Amino acid sequence: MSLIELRNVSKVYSLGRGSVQVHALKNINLTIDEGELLAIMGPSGSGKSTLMNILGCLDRPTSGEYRLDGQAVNTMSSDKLATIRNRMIGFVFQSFNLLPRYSAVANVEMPLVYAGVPPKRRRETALRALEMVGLSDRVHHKPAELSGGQQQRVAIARALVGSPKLILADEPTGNLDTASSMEIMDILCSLNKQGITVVLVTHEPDIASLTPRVLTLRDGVCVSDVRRPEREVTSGENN
Amino acid sequence: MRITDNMRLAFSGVVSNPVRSFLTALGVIIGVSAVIVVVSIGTGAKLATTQEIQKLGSNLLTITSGYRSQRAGLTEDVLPVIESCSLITEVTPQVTAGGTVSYGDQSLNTTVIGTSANYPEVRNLKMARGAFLIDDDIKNLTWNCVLGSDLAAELFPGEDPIGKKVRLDRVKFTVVGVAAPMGDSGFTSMDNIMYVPYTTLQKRVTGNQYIGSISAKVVSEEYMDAAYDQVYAALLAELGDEEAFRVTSQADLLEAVDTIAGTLTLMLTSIAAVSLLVGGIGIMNIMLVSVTERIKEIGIRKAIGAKEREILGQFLLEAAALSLTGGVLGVLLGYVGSRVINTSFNWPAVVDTRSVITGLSVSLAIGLFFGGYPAWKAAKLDPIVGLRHE
Repeated sequence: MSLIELRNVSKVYSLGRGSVQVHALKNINLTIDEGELLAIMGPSGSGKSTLMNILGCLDRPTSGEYRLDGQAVNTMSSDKLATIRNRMIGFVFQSFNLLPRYSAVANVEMPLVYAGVPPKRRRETALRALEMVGLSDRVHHKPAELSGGQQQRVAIARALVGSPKLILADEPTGNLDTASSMEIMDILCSLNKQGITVVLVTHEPDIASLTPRVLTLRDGVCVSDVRRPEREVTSGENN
Repeated sequence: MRITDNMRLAFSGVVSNPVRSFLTALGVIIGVSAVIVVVSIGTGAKLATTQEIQKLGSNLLTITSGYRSQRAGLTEDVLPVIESCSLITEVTPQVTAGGTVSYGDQSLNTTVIGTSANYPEVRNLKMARGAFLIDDDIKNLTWNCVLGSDLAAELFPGEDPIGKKVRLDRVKFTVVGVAAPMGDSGFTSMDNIMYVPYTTLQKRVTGNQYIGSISAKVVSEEYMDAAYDQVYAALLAELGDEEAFRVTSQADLLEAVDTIAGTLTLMLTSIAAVSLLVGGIGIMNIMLVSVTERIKEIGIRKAIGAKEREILGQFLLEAAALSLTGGVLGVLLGYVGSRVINTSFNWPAVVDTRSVITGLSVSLAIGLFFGGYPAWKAAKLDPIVGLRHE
């Protein structure tokens, strides 16, 4: 069953009072099934980030239809989209985007705060999520007291704490060294094995080669959509 | 989102930057404390006047000269005219002067009241020792005097003043009695007074034939209006000029004090309102700064599922918490200020519960009003813009 369905999705930005129009995405058609692991590649300005924002319900397409888990989200109100983001999607960003004033566990709890989960239960859930990313010994550290790889693991814990169907990772390894990058990819792959659909944006071929499906964008158009059989995918261990 | 979570968030926003929060709330602190102090002054004045009037009895008419000039006024000729009114039981003149009274090496500035023998009855004055002046004192212009309790205590520490001679500027009076304590009349002490025969004061001390005010006791409170008309008609017939005299009742006096206190309170409260307005603008300003500083945080919160009204609530509650904290501090400061006025300026300031409630609710309203626009701006922020912000 398909989790994501994009039909003829276009995004047009108007610059300078509408005199200049930028076509960031042109008639994208894309179907992503539940449980897939997918990489979106492309040079900067190719529309990767725009596509990620639309997939993450942070932005609406100018035209076309987007169905997420069977629901047409392109017509929803911004509050309804907020609920969709809260319940169905987890975000992982290149720059981690943790709140510096809060400890690791408080950062992880945040989606549950907006879901209205009572304090005691959300603390338990957040601690379990931190355990899954191997950070049980760092729960009360502030982001500034953690390494880049650890901060990204906190961000992943925050993304998965609400049991989402979809995790969107925008250049999750962009700010990390190779060893940390592999750790992060291992975690994302293992989450995918548990059934969570993972879409990641990257410009590093090494990272893309870890996924069974690679979508390439150029100038807002999807130029290739390559699926490889499972066995051809290089895994973290034999790299 | 649970409301308790948003409240906790708002409060942590205030305490995470205590110096800035304090400076921002300062306008509200000053405004609220000013309201508390001003209202306490007005309330105290009203309360004191009411108490004084109750002490004196409300069946009293006061007759004063209608002229502003010192050289024109009422003389003792009008006393029998007022006495002849059927609804008036007692009439006593008061001629007021100031002077330095001394005994031995003690000397004090005091108020001298020249009056008649029935003054204690009209003004509810009780005697502690000796007796008040008698009609013979008035008729014969004697050098007898009665001292107020504080005056007696200060001039004669540990001594019996009866029979002693005190000096008032260049003349000497013999003390024949000491009054019982009257208490403060709100503004002046009624116990730092020297009573002498008004005839002596007029003819042998000041040389001024005019009487400052005349107190007339009415048969009973229910005849106040009728007595007023009687006295008014009698004086008009005697003096032939309605500008020459004024008759007031205690109720008129209370009303006048009420009006003055009300005007004063209104005026000072307007000034306080300006301070509150400036405080509100300060809160709006700092909340706008706070929203700009936290664009990224707002973007992150929205990305992980914060709804517009939850962001709105967070910033609105933060502004309200800031302003309400200012309000609470303002009430405390206002209370201290009113105590200081009470003790150092001897003004009967009383902090009114209503002004405390008003101060707190106004500060809360200011936070909600002036925090509204910044919170709305935060709520409407595009999450992508927020996330991209560095």
